[in-house]
Amino acid sequence: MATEMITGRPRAESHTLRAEEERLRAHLEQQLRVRTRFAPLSDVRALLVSSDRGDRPKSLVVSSQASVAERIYLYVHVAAHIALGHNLPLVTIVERAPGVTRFTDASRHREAEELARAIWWGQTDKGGLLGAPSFAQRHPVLRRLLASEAARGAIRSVLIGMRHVYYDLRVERALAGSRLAAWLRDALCLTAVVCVAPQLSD
Amino acid sequence: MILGCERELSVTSIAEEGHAVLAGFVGEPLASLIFRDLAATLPKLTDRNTLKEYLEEGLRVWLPK
Repeated sequence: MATEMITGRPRAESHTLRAEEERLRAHLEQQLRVRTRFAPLSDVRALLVSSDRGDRPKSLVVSSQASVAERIYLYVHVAAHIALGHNLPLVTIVERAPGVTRFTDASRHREAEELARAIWWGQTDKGGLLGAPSFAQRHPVLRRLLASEAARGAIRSVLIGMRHVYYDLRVERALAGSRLAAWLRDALCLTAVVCVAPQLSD
Repeated sequence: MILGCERELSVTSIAEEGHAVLAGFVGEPLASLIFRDLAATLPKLTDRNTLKEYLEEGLRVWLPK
């Protein structure tokens, strides 16, 4: 099952992005009983291996080469597959390298992609708390900007520039709990994920 | 371990023998389900290390504790 992702680590792999990845990974384990581990996979991004019984944990093996933003996207995508009931007992879902889709996988993959987009933007409760950070999620202008490839690159550059200014001015302590800092963190996280998985945008 | 590999058995024979051996451990229904997943998943994996990870993870998750 192919996952369209732009390879290469995004520049915005911040503490916020890593914290978000850890939060989503914990959510997968606690709510969906998916245990995640990382391994050097070459030709696929991830494997979701299901047991013969629904009450036993599932295992998600993610490529150790995947960036933090890519991992976040994969977690949302896997949650969509589970919500759609694609993880049948003893069936392995293979998330292939970008651009490789088998005809037999295409429809399931498309369904999961559509649901993943709805989960990401908080349009369904099927993913639980797997959506994008809520503060940025509710920002319609940012969402519209991220829908355009050209604007995506520009907005990411602007946000990274804002982050540099934020730290260069040494105001992080003063603004640490402010709405501006929260918005900047969430917007950077959301933008980094959509940049590596543009299919999450409209 | 699949008996007779040194005699260059065909892939079909190896799969049949592997299926039979596994059925002896976990029963025919579970062995059939596992081999159905293998048949569907193996063609998607072309890298040796990825294949190894998949089989190891599969054995860990599939087989009864």
